[in-house]
Amino acid sequence: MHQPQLCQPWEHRLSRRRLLGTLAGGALATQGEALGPLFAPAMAEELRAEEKQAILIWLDGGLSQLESWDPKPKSPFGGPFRSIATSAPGIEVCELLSQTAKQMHHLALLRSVCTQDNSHSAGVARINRGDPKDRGVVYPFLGSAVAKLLGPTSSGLPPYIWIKPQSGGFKAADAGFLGARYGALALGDGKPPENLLLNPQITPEENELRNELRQRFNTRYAARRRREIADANSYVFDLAQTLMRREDLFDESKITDRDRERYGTHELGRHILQGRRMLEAGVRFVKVNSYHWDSHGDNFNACDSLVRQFDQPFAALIEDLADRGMLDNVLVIVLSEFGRTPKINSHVGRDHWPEAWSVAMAGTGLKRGVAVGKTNADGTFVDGPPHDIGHLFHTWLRALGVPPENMSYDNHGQPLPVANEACSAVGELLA
Amino acid sequence: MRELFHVLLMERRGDNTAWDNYLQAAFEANKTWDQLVREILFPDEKDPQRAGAGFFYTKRLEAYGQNPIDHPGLTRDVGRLFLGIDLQCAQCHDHLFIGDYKQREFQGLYSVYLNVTAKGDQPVPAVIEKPLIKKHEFVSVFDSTKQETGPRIPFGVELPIPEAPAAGTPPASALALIARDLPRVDNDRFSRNIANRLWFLMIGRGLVHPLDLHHSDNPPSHPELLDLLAREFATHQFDIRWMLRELALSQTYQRSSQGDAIPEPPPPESYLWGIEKRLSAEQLLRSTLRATGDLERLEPPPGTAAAGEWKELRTRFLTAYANEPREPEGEYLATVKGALFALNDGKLLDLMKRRPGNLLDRVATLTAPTEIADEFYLTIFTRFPTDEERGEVQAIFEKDPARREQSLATLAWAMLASIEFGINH
Amino acid sequence: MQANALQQQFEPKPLGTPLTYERQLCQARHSPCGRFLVASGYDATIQRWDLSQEPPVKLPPLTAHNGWVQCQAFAPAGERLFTADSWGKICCWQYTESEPRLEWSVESAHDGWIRALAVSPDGQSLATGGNDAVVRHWSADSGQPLSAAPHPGKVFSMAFHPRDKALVSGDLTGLIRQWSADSKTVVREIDARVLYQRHNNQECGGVRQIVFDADGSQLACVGQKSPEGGFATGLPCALVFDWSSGKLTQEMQVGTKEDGFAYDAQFHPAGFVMATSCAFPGRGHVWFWKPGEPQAFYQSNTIPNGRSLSLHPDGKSLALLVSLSANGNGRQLVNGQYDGGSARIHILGFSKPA
Repeated sequence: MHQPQLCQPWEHRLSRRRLLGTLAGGALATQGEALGPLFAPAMAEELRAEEKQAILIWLDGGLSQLESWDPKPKSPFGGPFRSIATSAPGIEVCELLSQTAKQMHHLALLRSVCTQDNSHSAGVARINRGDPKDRGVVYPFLGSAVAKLLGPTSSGLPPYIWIKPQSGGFKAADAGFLGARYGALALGDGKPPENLLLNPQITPEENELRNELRQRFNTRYAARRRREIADANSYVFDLAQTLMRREDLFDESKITDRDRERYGTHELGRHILQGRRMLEAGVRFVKVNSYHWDSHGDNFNACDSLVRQFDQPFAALIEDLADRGMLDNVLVIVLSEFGRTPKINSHVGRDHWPEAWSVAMAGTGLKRGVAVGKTNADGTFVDGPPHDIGHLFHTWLRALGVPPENMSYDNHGQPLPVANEACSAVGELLA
Repeated sequence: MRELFHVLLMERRGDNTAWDNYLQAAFEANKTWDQLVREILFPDEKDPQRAGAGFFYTKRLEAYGQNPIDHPGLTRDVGRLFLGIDLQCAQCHDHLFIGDYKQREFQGLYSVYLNVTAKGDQPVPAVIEKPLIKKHEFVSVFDSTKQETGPRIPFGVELPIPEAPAAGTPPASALALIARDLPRVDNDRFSRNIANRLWFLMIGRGLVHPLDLHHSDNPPSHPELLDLLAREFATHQFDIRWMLRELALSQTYQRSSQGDAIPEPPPPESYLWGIEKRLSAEQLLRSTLRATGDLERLEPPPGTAAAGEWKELRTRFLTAYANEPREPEGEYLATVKGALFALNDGKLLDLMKRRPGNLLDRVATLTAPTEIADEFYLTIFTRFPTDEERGEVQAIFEKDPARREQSLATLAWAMLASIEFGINH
Repeated sequence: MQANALQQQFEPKPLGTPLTYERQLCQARHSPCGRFLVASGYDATIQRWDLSQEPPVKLPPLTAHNGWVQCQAFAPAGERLFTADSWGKICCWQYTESEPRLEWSVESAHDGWIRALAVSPDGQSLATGGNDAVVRHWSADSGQPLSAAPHPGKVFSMAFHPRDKALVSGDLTGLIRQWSADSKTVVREIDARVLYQRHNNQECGGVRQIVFDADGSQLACVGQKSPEGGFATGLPCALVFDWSSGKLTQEMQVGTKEDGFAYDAQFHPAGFVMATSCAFPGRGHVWFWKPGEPQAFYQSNTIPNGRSLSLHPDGKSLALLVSLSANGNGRQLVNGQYDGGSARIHILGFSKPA
């Protein structure tokens, strides 16, 4: 259930005293760099060249680990479903993941996830931001962070595309202190953004001419002014024009019947398939959201319906990325704000459970066919070292080639670690 | 002014005719800021002076999505917008990082708003207040000691619970107490907040930045200046027009955003260079229509509801350029969505077609490229072109004389889509 | 009988101390002789109580299942108990002795969750159905398969008609199918689709229980309708159909959406429907409603979270099984232990014996 809006520590803003304290240590960093400031910019250039990509599938409300990645058959909280063997010897998953089970040799599971928040209001943001240490600033969501750290790929497409049900638009909030430009371009129901097609009133030649003129005006304007506004402006116009050249990405007639069948025609199936097309086109980071996973009531019928809706297209995605050799470059993550209680409430539901849950991932930089960490026999708590979202951010950034220990954002002179420095990567997951 | 304050106070939550009329009348009558705030804080749909002001409360007391009615959010917004203090993080405990923000500052105000609900389906927004009969109890999540508070303006003294009224008279209102005690000359936070906000509106960056975080660890960049502005504004009975005029006459306001960056541009909080300011979606719409010569034709007179082409264009501009609801509009925001709108929106491109009396019509009658350049630059950039720019225009027409009309439209578009036009610099 | 007379006679009152079990249970049923009460649930066991003793004596459980055991039925003469689990297994028990005997079992009777089981009135066969959307028929003596036929949706409930040679099965989509007694042929379909909802990307609801009255002239089924909000919870609802025409004669809806699913129902020999619902912890009703009356003559939420009810064959009492499992996010330890919820069976006597 939704709690009244509680304290959101990540919204604690920068205090001037602290800012001054940090500034005293060094001069203001250069602001003119094309993607905005980052400490260790040389590193950033190398990273961009590597063309690593990522797709995050966000199951909003909280996927039950027991009905997915960490089944506990024959335990008090195991629920009605069976566990099944997978293509990775020794790893079993819930029977609701029957298709994904066949792709398990590509996946890496972390079954020892233990996070901090048991409310949506706090959990969603903290997990998406990697729970950095509080420095009085709003940290970016992973997609904005990657957009900042790696920028667009050579495709020139927007670096952060968010495929979501309902409305699209430009969602600046994910970007936090990085600034709105690192927000997400949201495709409502996977549909193209408004005004994508070149207006028929304009010929391609006119379009070229008018943009050339516009750029000339802007270059003149920007001379002897602060660079930020001109940079931000030309950045979005460039992205917009690249997108316009790729209208085929939104052409549903280009989807094969085979893909339609394999991914399914349901919402999540269409959206994950659209996510794959975006990755193929070269989008740096794709987020796909699915809602209504908050199964406080009738959890098992809900999972029987929902987990299967995830299983089919997710298995197809992994299979396709593997077949195309893309798993070598693409990081795949399946994430929620928490898991669900082992205990089954009187509404035959499971409530919020950050204490012991699982995250599935695959692809670049990660081992394949492994399950790292474990929960106890009843699945109630982590057995062994627990891993927080901070550990996962380290792992994922490292998998993408970003050495999180050595990289900081430059927030107007305040160096901010890209991941919580109290955590480190989960070595057993890294290839 | 109406629009400016509407966006400032409502943060894109939505529109309401009674509220629009209220703000319109208020600014026409040059209502002072303290009076305006008093009326917003204690609205009355039956009082012609205050009718419509209740929208500030009622819109915030609507459920949206699956969220519950957000009384804490309303409390937070009263603190943010009228006192410059964001107490959200002090709801459940003393603020962890801002020493000044104690839980009691939030809870004292919250005790009042907890009892306020919106009346459903009213033509004029109206609220109902449950009488406050006892102190509000709260605990810190860190130590479970029970505390209690009566109504209290943050950083003020606790007010007594209003006495139960005699039979037959309306119940005492805690909102009335807040409206009486918050917008006062002797409430420094009240005058400093509005002085800082008006400075931000005119200059582009608050002396206290961010605007909602006035506290002792976040002093103004120019403390004496903010003191002076707040004091003078209060002395002039919070006359908004006077204040904006004073700011407009200041050297800071008149400073250019250009300069020689040696070695780096000066930081924005130095105000040594003018700060480039975002134009709101509404300002962009008006500026665009003024430039294309369509404003008079399309804009409805004040007090009339938006309709037809104006409404259509306004909706499109807002979709393209306004922030999401509940997000304060501050810095310049460049988005792919906005760029695609500028590039391809049909209604926008239609404005660059020749129509009797509009900009394209005027330039079409001119023959000399210099005259065309002058007309375009004066109308769109409100300045004369440089020789280089005149030469550029000439080159366009010389390159393809047969497509003169298209070239005019192309030029108009490129200027309207440029930063020089889209930014207040 | 008038509503107030019914209420005076049948208002239920607790008798003795409720039976308790440390895990949650889904269903409780009296044996045809009335001596035994059996109940099953989340721990794969079938619990038994001997009601001939005062207080009732707990007997050793029946243990051969996996996952959840959610359905059970007695042979009409009472000599056998049939049970089914969520991993697809069915068992036939000699259950009356202290040491129970497993007569036969079928390990993979269905692919996964079996959610419905019914025994034919002659005791010769049993029918099962579940998430694999197949209705299967078995020999009661041997467990040999007799027939199998597909159902449009996941099968949630089943009942044999007391006299006609007919089996009905209700599914997730709100479809009730009438089969020939050997369940090979579909005779007709009855529309209970109001109990199915597509809500928040989920398929919700379903015909959760289906029962006949004593003479087989009426059929009632239960579930929920009109879910709202985030948790797919709707209004508890029972539907009554005229058996001969298959027409809906009455919709019996109680409570609010917090009261959720009606999980179980039974016709009382006096002709009224008894039903119970369960949703948010602390919510859910028990209600008695005579078809033809505009409202329930008895409705109470003083014993919430009812999952199952079973009328004693003597008609004097009712066993109401409830779930005791609070909801709550995050770590909640009781004396350092993780509390997993439990079950309680209230024995309720009627005001005046029938």
